[in-house]
Amino acid sequence: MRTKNGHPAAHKTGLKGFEGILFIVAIGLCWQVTTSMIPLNNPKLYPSPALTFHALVESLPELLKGTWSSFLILIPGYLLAVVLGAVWGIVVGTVKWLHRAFDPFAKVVAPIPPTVYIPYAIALMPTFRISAIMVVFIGAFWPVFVNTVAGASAVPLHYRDNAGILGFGRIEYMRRVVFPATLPDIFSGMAVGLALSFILLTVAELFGANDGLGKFVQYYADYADYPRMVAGILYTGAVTFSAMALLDLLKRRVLFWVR
Amino acid sequence: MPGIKTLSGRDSDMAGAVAPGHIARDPRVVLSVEHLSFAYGAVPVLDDINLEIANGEFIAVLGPSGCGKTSLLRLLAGLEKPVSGRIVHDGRVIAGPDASRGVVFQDYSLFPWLNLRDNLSIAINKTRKGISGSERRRIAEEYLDLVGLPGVGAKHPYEVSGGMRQRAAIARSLALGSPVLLMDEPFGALDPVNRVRLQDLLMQLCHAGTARRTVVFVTHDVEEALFMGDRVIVLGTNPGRIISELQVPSEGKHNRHDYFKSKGFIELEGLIAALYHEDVERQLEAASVVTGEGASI
Repeated sequence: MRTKNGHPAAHKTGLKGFEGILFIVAIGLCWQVTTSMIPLNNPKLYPSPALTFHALVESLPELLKGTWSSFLILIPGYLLAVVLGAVWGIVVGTVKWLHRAFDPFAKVVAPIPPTVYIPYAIALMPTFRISAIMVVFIGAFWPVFVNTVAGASAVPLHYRDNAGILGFGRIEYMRRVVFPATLPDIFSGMAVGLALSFILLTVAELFGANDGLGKFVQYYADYADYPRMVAGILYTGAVTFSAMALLDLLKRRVLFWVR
Repeated sequence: MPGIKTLSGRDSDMAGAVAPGHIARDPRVVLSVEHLSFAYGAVPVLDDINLEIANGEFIAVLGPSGCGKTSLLRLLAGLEKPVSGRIVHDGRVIAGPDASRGVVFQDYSLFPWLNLRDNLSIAINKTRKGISGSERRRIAEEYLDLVGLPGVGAKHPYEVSGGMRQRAAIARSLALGSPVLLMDEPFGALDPVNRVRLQDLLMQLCHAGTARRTVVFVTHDVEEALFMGDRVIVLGTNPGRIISELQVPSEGKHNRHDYFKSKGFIELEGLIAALYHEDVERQLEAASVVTGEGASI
């Protein structure tokens, strides 16, 4: 069937592009229905959306304070990992003998799950914050580094040719050619590193924090205040999603030339 | 046939027509290729190439795909190292790429993350140390004007057409101030109209007036080679070697249409066709000898 302006069955595609939102709405409805319909449900253990929302609003000041405290760990650890991972990755990916020297070590150390460093970091460092920053740093460093090395050691030959013709020295070549050419890989590493940072942050906070998002969830679980705990989980999800979305926005801006 | 010189019939008054292998004594010679051989691994690509290029000469290197013409250009640029032999530029053996020999590739001379102006600006930064960023950008715009790209400096390579990218690439090598310009099928990816326009532009920039640039222009297009080149180096295949050098008379080139119908052009075109026919026959013969031997074993 054709509509007036000639597009076949245009009314059918009215919901196109909204599938993601619809799915989330459906999940919310399921949640509401299951909490109110199941007669044996314990509202303390499995709180309804309304109860959770109420807890969220009530806890918002505490959550915001926790976010700030978590970011004081996440941002320094993550940024340090990105800067050092990218710079060292470009150097190792470009200088062949350094690659031969460092690569075997990286291959052994990079796959160690960074969570296993947490107890030792807490023992080693003077404060919890510094030890958590260290763990986030280690966790985010390897994905950024590994991706950057892969990109930097595979810079297209024609970029290298052009750098030679322009008379670039090694440092200028790394700065003006390898760095921009490797940016797509650096961003892939940054995305993996950021997701890992949030995991490490919250796990570290379960161990020994006085504050923060992971601590919030742990604290209310201990006191069996599950509406607040669920609110904490949802809030942490929202923060993680926002951070990833922000990174994606940055990536689109920086990598406008990638086609 | 006037103006036609093959390897067997060299003429000593011809620019760069010293017997192969001699060290350049002619002061006009800027580039001299001596017993140059090149291979990718075990595959021979170029075999005993000898060539002398005079200052201001426009050399067209003509050959079919796989004859090693791009390799020859990369060797001239210093982007590859010869297996044996050497290339001397202004009295110095070429050991690597540098700004004294600018290169225009088929379609990847520009960095995609920089706009056209900044692509030129980094070249200007190399040749004119210590000038301010705004001055560099101003000079870059001047060069873009020169190649017929006024006011598009802020555009990125992906935003403009292939013809515009090649114009910008030519502008970059002009901005680099390289006395020698090496071009690897620079117009090969362009449509016929843009190709003609850019040929004319290049002739106007490098070939006219008193300050002539030395250009080595690689192409597989016979018409292009004969129109652009003062001298055409014809390469044969398996392995790549010079099968002939043709001096092209400059008369009549101001009118492209008439030139392609002129007796001189038609004669040269016929000669090149004959040379390639000969090269193909020689290879078929060589192949049949090999298979013949194989059968007898």
